[in-house]
Order: sequence, then C-alpha cells, then structure tokens
Amino acid sequence: MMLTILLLLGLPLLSTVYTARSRSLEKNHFATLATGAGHLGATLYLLLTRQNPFPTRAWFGLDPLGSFFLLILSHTFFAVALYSPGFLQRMKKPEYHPSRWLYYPALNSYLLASTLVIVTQHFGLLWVVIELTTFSLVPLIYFYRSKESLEAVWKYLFLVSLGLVFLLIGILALDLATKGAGEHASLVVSDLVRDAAKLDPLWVKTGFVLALVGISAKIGLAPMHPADIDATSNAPGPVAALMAGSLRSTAMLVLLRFYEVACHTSVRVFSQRLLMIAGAFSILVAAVYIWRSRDYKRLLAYSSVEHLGIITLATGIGGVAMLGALLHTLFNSFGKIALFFMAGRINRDADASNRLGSRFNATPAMERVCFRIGIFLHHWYAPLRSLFQ
Amino acid sequence: MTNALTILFCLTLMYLAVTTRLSSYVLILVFQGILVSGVYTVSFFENFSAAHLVIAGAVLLFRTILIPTYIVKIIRDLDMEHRDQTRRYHPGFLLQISGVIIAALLFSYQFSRITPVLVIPLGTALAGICSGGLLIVRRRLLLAHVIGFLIIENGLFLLGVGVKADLPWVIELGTFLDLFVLIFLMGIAINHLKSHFPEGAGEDLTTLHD
Repeated sequence: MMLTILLLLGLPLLSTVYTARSRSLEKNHFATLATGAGHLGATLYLLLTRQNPFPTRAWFGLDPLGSFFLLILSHTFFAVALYSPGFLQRMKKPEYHPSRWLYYPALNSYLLASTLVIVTQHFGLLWVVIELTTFSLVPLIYFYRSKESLEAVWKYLFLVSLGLVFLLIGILALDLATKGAGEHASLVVSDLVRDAAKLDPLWVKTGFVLALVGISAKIGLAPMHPADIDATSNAPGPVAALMAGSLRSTAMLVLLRFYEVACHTSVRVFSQRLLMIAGAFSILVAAVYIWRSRDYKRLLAYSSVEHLGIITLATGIGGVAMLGALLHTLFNSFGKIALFFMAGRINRDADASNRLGSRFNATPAMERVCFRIGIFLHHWYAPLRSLFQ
Repeated sequence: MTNALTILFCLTLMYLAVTTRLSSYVLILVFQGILVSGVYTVSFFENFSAAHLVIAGAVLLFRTILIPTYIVKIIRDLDMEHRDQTRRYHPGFLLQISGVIIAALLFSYQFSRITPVLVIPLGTALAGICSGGLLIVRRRLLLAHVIGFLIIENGLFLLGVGVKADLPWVIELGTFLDLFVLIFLMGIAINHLKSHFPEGAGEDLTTLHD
C-alpha cells in the first residue's frame, strides 16, 4: 500500500523537483512519462482491487468515486506526457524558451496537486490543495507569452481565486452545520456522512449553494465560465487537453463531495434541483455561444461547458442518470484530449487566416477527416451512449 | 476587546472608501493585518495553545510584512507611487461602504438569533468581504483589484473567527501560504501586463471576447 501512495504522490513530487532542476528537456520528458506511467499503473491497481491505501477516516482516503476520477486524471496526464515532446519540438521560437523550461515542472506539479484534490477527504485541506492546481496551471496557460495569453492567465487566476473565496465560505458554513453534531464532528467527508442526521440543514444548504457558486469557476459552469473559456482557448493544445480532460472533472469531484454530504441530509432534493438548474443553464449558455465562436479551441471550450452542464444535470437527476454522468465524464475526457490535440494543430497550421472554414481547409486532409470523426463521436455518439446507459 | 478591534477594522474600510492612493491602500492592509491577528489572539485567549500562537504569528508575518512589502516593491518597480488611480474622489463610494457596514451588522445580529456567532466580528467580516468586492468594481487599476482581493481575504479570516471555526492549524497555515503564492503570481502577472497594457487598468483587458 505504501508503494501505491509513493507512486501517486511521491513520484509526481520527485518528478517536479527533478524537472525543475534538470537542464535537459529529453530527460525531463522521460521523467514525466515515467511518472505518468507509474501513476496510471497505481491507479489501475487501486481501481481493480478497490483498495484504499490510506488509513480509514484520515484526512486522505480513496473511495470508489475517487478511484474513478483518479483514472480520468491519470490517463489524461499520460496522454499529454506522450504528446508533449512533439509539441515542444515545434515551439522553438526564442520567446517560448522560458516556457519550455517551465513546462515539465508545471505539468508534474499539476499532477501532484490534482492527485491531492482527489485523495483529500478533509474539506479545509481540499480548499488548500485546489488552489495549488490553479497555481500549477499559470505557467502552462501563459506558454505563448502573448498579450492574449497574459490576459487569459490574469482573468483565470483572479476569477478562479474569487470563486474559491465562495468555496471557503461554503466550507465555513459546513463547519457551522457541525456545531450540534458533538465533539467528534469534523470536516472529513466520512465523518460528515456519519453525522448527517445531526447536521443543521440550513447550514448544509448554505454551504452547498456557496460551494456550487465557488467551484463553478473551476468546473466551467455558466455563468462563472468566461475565465475558464479564455484560459482553455489561449493555452497550448496539450494544456487545453489537460484542463478540459481532467481539471474540470477533478473540480466536479469537489462538488460531488459536497453533494454526497447533502444527499445524506434533508437538503437532498434542494441540492438536486440546484444541480439540475445549474446544468440546464450551462447547456443553454454553451448552445448560444458555440455559434458565435470563431476559433476551434474556443468552440471546444464551450463544448466543455455544455458537456459539464450535461454531467451536472444528470447528477442532479440522480439514480441511473448518475451512472450516465460518470460515464459521460470519462467519455468527455477521452474526446476532449483528442480534439484539443487536433484543434491545436489546425490553429497552428493556418495562423494567417482568421476564418474558421479557411483554417480548417488549410489543414492536411487526413487531419480534417480525423477531426470530423472526433467531433461526431464526441458530440453525438458519446452523449447518446450516456443517455442510453 | 474583540469588538473594539473589529470596529477599528470597520473604520479602515471607511478610509478605504475615501482614499485613492495605492500607498494608503498598503497602509490599510498592514493595519488590517495587525487587527485580524489581534482579534484572533483575543478570541482564543482563554484556551490559547501553541497552535494558536503559530497562526497568530503567521497572520502577522504574511498579512502585515510579506504581502505589503511585496506590493510596495511592485508599486516602486512599476513607478506607480504618486498616481491618483481613480482620477477623482467619489463620495458615493463612502456612502456605499457605510451602507454595507450597517447592513452587515444588522444581518449579523439577525444571524445570531439562530446560531451562536460573535455578532460584531461576523458583521465586520461580511462588511470586509463586500467592501473588497466593491473596491474591485469601483477602482480601475489591477493592483487595486489585488488589494480588494486581499481585503476580502482579511474579511474571510474574520469570518472564521466570527463563526468560531476551529480548523486544524496546518490547514490555516496552508491557506496563508496559498494566499502568499497567489499574490506573488498576481504580482508577476502585473509586471508582465505593464509591458502590454501600460495603464495597468482592468478596462484594458478586453482582447478576449466572443
């Protein structure tokens, strides 16, 4: 069990330190790839054996839901690690030089921070580690060092941090809810679920509303989505894939932790309705804005808002739809990784043109076919399959 | 004592409304840092432990020394010292902040009827959070927005005291460290932003839209 903890947390930490010190991009790539492989291996082992490598009722723990989201993080990171050398090979302009050196340390620290978010069971600590994911993404979003990427990184940093202020107030509300639950009450998820009957419903309700508002900026749910859209569309392809493929899902897990607590109290129906409203509103907003997008990455970023809206709506419906929501989270992750890799190439190959159609036509025929298949599978087939499930 | 310190905090919010100089904002931050540390120490005085001492020390270190010093460095590096950032003084802002403080205290009083909370610290905390938000909306400069964010964070710390939240000290320290890294990153971003947007104003950031 100690080995799996080392692979999940120790290896990314070691890799972050190593890649920050190393002066060879090739070595950094191998270290990152090895970290990704180790992380994926440990995740698959834990998922198949359904084991929790951490002591029970501790601040850290891995439940089946956590294992599932860990798989999403692991496979996204591994795919990005595989794609990265080719991407960095193309980024040889002198202005990208500092970003190239920051790329792998930031990538590894993102893996560490996201793993911590998934395995953390204490709401207070969860707030601390979710901020770390934002910090690790800053150098990655600012990779191109352009005016646009700077604006995107500023908005992302500022608005997500403001959102997390709401999340912290929500956690304090949850702390207030535990006041009548006795001496052993704590902000650990399993303790809150155990003491659910003693929690003050008013504060659980307040906490859930604030948590939904706060974490929406990170998930990309409307109306808190603009910063996330700007960041995803201005980040390089692999970073956008990382954000759409795993960051939003990881943030969704934080919301699900609150939902898990709310579901064991009398505010279950209230929280379900709230999730359904938030999800439906996101789908509506994304549907309107998708038509106005003139950039493939922006279009896909809005597609993420739509898909996260579907997932939130299905979570709110509950029952079998919840299973569909989880499956859709996985499909969305697979689809977004592939599509953002390809969208990055389309934007890069036809910089001169501003028109969506011209950019697409300037891309090699094979890539155009793959992109079309990807779009079809992602936007039609995968949601339908989730609905049938 | 707690009430006296939190009322002083409210007065700093009123000063925030009437001043437009960045150097005054930094002074407000330093003073607020001392006040929140004092409120924290007094609130937990009866069962004061080593953990409380560490947190009170960390509040002083981060909120009154490290973060203000860093902001002063940014102001000097970017030569923003003597600029009037809002062009002219708006009396409406003072009225807004005063209204927010009164509303927050009344709200906190009503709140105390259903849950055991400290009325004045909680009201002050809510006023601090709202005032920081108002500062972000009313001021043009991005650095003023960062200061607004820090005032929200000070309000948030007071909120923890007001609702008697007793988070483990490791987590409290983690939040301070997060805050410091966040301000550090925002500072770096402002430095870079100045080369693209010389005014450093929030309204310049309109390149990205649909």
